Amino acid sequence: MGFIKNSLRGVAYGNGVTAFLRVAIGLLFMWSGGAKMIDPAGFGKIIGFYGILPERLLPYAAATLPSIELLAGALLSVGYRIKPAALITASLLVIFIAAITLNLARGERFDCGCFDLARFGISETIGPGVIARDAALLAVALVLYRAKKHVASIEAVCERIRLREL
Amino acid sequence: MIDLADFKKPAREAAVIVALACVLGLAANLLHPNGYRLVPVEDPAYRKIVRIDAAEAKIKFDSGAAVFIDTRSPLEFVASGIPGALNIPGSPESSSLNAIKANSGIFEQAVEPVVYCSGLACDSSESLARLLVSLGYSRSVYIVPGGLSEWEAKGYPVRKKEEEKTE
Repeated sequence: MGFIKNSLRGVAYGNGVTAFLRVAIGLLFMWSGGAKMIDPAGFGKIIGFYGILPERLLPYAAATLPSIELLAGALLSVGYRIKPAALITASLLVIFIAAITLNLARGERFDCGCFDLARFGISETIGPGVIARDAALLAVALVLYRAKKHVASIEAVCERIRLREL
Repeated sequence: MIDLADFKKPAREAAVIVALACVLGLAANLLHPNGYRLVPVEDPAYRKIVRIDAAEAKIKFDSGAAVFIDTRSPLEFVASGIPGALNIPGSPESSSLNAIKANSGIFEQAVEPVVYCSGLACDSSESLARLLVSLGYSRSVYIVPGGLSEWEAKGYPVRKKEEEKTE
């Protein structure tokens, strides 16, 4: 029990596992954003399925959301501006969870268009499983936001250089 | 859980990153071959393209002088559409060209083509209208930017799969 507690404390403070989670979630968001940028019309259609945004705004959302995911994912992966990137990732996940929950409550069933994992045979039809997955990713994003130390990151390298020059 | 005192700086930086990402996203969309046309550009070469709303399209529909062209995919067209409309998909261009060729007789008649797709989120109607003009179609080509969703919202007739088989 004590071992698990200590491990979790280590992850929350920032260790190798935190770095692994950061790079993994970063790459996932980069993949997701990149795949959506390749087919903006297809992504616009999926946003339309959610029935949340006015139709006039769909093209703008389809053009900008993927690049936000891509940039936030890239920053997390390389470990630069980690706090704001984690904040953006967490905000996006909160929006995704709210939109999926709303449509689930409406009785809708469609591909959530989240991470374009359908091409690997992983179902992304909106449902409790997708919400649970996004909630887990949200927890990771919040851990990254709160972590004090980020090993294997550009920020860590910059900090080391700064300390050496003192 | 999140310390609000330390929240200001990352929030400000996050706003800058989001703004930068939006600019990059819009620029990428501009360069994308199938990107959205977010700002309609009045190109003199496409002066013959006239945008009308569903009510104006309905007047043309009632007059019988217009030929409605549905630029959605054949699957979407089979499921629903404006009664009597032709299906000429707006993309890929090769499909559009084949379908225009197959229906060339219609474009030689004195008819007004009214092009539509699903709604404001699609721009295949715009692509097809531009293709018609670039192919030398000499009359005006009408686009309904609101598409089938605006037409349906106004309560105008819509063909559903069960009601009518497509030709």
